[in-house]
Amino acid sequence: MSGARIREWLLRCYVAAMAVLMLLPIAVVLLTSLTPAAYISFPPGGLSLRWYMAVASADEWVPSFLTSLQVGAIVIVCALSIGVPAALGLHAATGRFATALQTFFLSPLMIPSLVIGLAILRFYESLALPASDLSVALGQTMIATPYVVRFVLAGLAGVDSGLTRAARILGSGPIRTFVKITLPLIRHGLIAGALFSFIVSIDDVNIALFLSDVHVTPLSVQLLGYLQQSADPQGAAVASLLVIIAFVLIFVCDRLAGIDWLFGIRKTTVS
Amino acid sequence: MTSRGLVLPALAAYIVLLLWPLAGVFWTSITPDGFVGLSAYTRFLSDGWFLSVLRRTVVLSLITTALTLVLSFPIALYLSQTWRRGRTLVTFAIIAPMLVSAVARSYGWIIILGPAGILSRCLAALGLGSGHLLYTETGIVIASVHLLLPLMVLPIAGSLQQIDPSLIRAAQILGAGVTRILFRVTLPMCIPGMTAGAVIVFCMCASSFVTPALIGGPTIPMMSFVIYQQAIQLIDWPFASAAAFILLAATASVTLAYLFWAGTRRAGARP
Repeated sequence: MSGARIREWLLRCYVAAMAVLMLLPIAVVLLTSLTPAAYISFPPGGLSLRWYMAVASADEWVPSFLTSLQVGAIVIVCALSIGVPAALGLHAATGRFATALQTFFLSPLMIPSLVIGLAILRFYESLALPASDLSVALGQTMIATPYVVRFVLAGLAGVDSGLTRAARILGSGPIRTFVKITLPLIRHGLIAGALFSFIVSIDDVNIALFLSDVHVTPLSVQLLGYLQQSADPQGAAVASLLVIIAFVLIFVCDRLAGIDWLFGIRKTTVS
Repeated sequence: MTSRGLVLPALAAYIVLLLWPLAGVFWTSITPDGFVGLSAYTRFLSDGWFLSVLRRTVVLSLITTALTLVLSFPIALYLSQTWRRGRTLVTFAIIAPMLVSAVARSYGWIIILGPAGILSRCLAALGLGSGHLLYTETGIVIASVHLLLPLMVLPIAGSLQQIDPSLIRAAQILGAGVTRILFRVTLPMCIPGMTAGAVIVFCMCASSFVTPALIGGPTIPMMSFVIYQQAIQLIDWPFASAAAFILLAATASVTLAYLFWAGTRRAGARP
């Protein structure tokens, strides 16, 4: 059985090495942001928060950060308010048309988002609509909604239809049944959809690049522009902030919904 | 059923913010001189430089897809085996980077691949030359593989979990060795997951903007860079729109071929 042992050992080493490699670039950014030096140096050779101070006192970062938070909040509201009803409707419908509609609702994930950004910019220009938090958020809603639809559908798939039928038979109206029975049962999907909408919004560059202007610049667009011109650790500090926000949201997602469930990896296999 | 009407708000949003703008871009691309004509497309397809950008985009995306496929399989195998102890940690290491801003992750690769980066210093210390991979096609592929690996691991792991364990047991009882089981049972059974992953990775890679822009720089442009440059810097809307539709055609043909394949496969599986 030594052949099986060696294979098992190789698999473990490989997976461990890949896990480290996946986290490496992120760790490098976090460590670089803590350097006391005036240039990018790795390993940092000391620890200081001077670049975070520089970010907090610079004129460009704080407004961008606030813009990102506001845009992200609007994206959550918009994506949930069209995505959740859509998932409920799709769940109730069956047949070829429903399948086609579901593919259509998930399709923005398959269209290059840069093309969506270009298209929406041209659309706004034809309406003479200036850039605002709302106009950027509406564009990002198109790439956040598919996640909401997917997660809520996954949540609905786990709901025993007997429960809602029982509530209806016992005299509960459709709205009351939804609020009291369906909503609590699909809360994982809802929470995941909301958090994902925010993550999609804050990470998005391709759409915001087209829809933003000098007054409305989300953090990731501002950072991309900065990195293309300057190479001091200030960029690393901002990138680290994005990393920290993402990790906090992933942690919350995992606590509330379970990250395995979200990505379709089951915790236990059915026997 | 009234609940089917719930899809209407989303349908309306998709028509106004996705279909109509895309139709507008298509119209712009076929009316370059104020009347219908294909001169924007012929200009792209007859220009050696633009064709080289298209070729580079397709070739680098294919290489990235192939590498991701090979690198992902052992990780997916590991994640699909629920009895493993380090599984939660590995799941986190693979999924968490996916939700971190592409700008932040690409910046990590700039620090690693750059002239004074870790990799170049390691290579120099080993006496393997003094080159660096920043601003090279190899660098773009490395960073893209890192960016897109989770999108390949997840569908393959999902596919592997669908395999009935008794199939493997049956093969073992009938005397098949580990290699034979891998090639005759496991791999054929996870072709759906691999294909889905490959389609997603190819499309995402071909349309990515941030990673090629930061790692490749303006000297190694990809399609997304050309679309952005033509639209925002040169304000040549018809040409940018034509380039956008050429990119869209490339990714959509891959996606549609996949959907058709998956459809016939599902129909064939039905008794």
